[in-house]
Amino acid sequence: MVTLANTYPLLSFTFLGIPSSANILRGTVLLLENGYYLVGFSVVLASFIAPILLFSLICYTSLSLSKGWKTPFLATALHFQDDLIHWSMIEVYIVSFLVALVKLVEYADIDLGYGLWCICITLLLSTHLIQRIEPAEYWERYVHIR
Amino acid sequence: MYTSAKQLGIKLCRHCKLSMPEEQSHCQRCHMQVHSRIPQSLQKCWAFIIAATVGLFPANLMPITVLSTRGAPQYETIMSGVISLIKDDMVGIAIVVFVASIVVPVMKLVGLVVILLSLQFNLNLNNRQRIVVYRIIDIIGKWSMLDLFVLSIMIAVFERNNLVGVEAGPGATAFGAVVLLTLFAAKSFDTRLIWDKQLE
Repeated sequence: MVTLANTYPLLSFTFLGIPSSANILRGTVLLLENGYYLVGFSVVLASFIAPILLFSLICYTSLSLSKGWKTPFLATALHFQDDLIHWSMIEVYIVSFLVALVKLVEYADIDLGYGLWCICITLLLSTHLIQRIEPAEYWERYVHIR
Repeated sequence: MYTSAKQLGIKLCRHCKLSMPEEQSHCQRCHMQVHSRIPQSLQKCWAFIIAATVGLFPANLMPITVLSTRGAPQYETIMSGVISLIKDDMVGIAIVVFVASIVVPVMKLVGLVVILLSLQFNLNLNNRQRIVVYRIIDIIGKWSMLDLFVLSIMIAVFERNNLVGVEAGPGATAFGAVVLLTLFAAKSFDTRLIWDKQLE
C-alpha cells in the first residue's frame, strides 16, 4: 500500500491539455476574475487542490510512518488526509468533461488533449488508492513512532 | 437487542477511531476533542437543510450560464439547458445533467428531511430504511458538482472564441451554495442518533 501511494503523484499533473488548449484551471481563473468566487473556489478545490493535496499528504504520511520518522505536523497531516478524501471529485470531473464534450460537438471538431488520458489514469489510481487506505492503520503506526 | 457504546460509557474518536471512556474530553492519540455524538447534530442539519432549500429557488430560476453569440445574449437556467439538450437529440446527456443538477439536490434534501422527521416524530420507518436513505444521500452527494465543472470547462473552451462567449450567471453562485450546503447537511447528521432512538 505504501509503495502504491508513493508511485502516485507522478501522474497527478493532469490539467494540462484539455481540448482547444483550454484547461480547468483557466476556467476557474476566469470565474474568479468575473467575481464568481464561490463557484470558482469550489470547482478548483474539488478538481485540483483536493486531489493533489491528498496525494501529497498520503505520500508524506506513508513515508514517515513506514520509515518511522518523526516528521513535523504528522497528526495534522493525517487529519487533513481523512477529510480530503471526501473533497476529491475526479470521477465527477470526468463525467462533466464528457457532458461538455457532447455539448461542444455542435460547435467544432474536437481533438482530445492528452490531459484527458492523464485524468483517466489518475482516476483509476486514486480509486484504487482510496479503497485501500485504512486510516486506522495509519493512526496505529503513528502511536508507535511518537 | 444490542448495546451501544454510549450505554457502556465508551465513546469513539471520529478522527482516528480510538475508543475511550466517556469522561475523557480529548483523544489521547490524535488530540482532537471527542464527543459521544455530534453536538446539536439535528439542529445543525435542519439549519443547513433550510438554507439549501432557500437557495434552490434562485439556483433554478436565475440563469446559470450566459451564452453570447453575435446577437442578444442567451440566458440559460439549469432546466432550459436540459430542455435544449433534449431538443438537440442528446437525451442521454440531458438525463445525466437533469439527474445531477436537479434530482440529486432535491432528493438529498427530501431524504434528510424524511430521516429527521421520522426520528423526531417516531414515524414508522425502520432503522434499515433510514440508514439506506442516508447511505444513498452520502454517495450521490458529490455528483451535484457536475454542472459547475461543466460550466468551468465551457468557459475555458470559449475563452478565445470571438463568435461565441460563455459566462457564468447569478444562478451559478446560488447553485454552488446549494451543493455545498447539502454536503454540510449530510455531514452534520450523526447516524448514531438512529440507533439511539431504538434503544430508548
